Amino acid sequence: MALPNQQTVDYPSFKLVIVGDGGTGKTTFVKRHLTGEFEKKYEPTIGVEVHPLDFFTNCGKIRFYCWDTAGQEKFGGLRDGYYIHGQCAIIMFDVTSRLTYKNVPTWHRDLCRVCENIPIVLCGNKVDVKNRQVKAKQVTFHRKKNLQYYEVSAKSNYNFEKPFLYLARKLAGDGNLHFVETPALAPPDVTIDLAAQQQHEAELAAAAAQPLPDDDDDLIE
Amino acid sequence: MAQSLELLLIQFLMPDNDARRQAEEQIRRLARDPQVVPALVHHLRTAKTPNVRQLAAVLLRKKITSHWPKLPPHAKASLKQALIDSITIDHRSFSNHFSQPLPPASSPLPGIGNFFFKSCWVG
Repeated sequence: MALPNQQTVDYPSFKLVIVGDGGTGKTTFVKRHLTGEFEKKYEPTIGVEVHPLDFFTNCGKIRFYCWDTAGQEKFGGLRDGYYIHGQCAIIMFDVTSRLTYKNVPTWHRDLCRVCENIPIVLCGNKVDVKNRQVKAKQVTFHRKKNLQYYEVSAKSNYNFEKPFLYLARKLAGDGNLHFVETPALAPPDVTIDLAAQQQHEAELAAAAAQPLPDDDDDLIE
Repeated sequence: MAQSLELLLIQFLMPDNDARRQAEEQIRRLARDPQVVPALVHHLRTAKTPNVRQLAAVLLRKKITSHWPKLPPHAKASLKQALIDSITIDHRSFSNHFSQPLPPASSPLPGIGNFFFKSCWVG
């Protein structure tokens, strides 16, 4: 059925649902890609805001319709109604806030109740901040649920394209798909301490070689 | 209500922000009327696209408990039967939204939830 004002494109497009606690950086992460700017002031998303995000790949152009959902319950709108026909998802938490990681299983459960068997990326945002509260090696939820995990920082542009590249490869069924043009992001607001971050990634890789802890071992405080 | 509600459900699923917001606002308004329950059951059973049926199920789960006491007895009986029929016809749209969590006893779902519990175990 044709409705007015529908945005349609003649290249592949996918509905990407973005969930996670309020203040974890979901909107900033998406808008960084859209406009290149880093939003400093926090404005809670109300209900959902859909942002079309185009990427150029070696197989042609693709679009993610990013359904950037409210993280705060009071602004939730019709909540899981926004997840319907989600073809891929990002669950975002803030590495400087333990509670946002603790809530990841709830976001995952609600998402999977509506979207079965879709590729999901877990993102730990704000890794530019020195005093992180969730250590890389403490992040284990993705291993239990077969998600991909990336440490990202919207402020420093660290790993900004990796969640989208992972999802694009999964949706295309092509492990060799790659982006041929990167979005023109504004220069980073901060320069991430790459040596420290490489240390965190090494700890994450080492932790991945260890057996999974029992559920109640997560985030012993 | 039936025809306009289906159009609103379709519009709600579109990526256009303005159109979706308008649809959401109208759905909220319609959802205050207990008659939204039989209307949603109708679309759950008859909508052409799976996404619209699934959206009807999501909204129904939210609304059925609060509206159930206000519905007349004959409506309750026919809705129970319609819900049970929906289980066997379109398992996917229905089961994920009604098998958890079980709502209070005033709603029709304990019996249906129990049915789901059994069918999920054997299924």
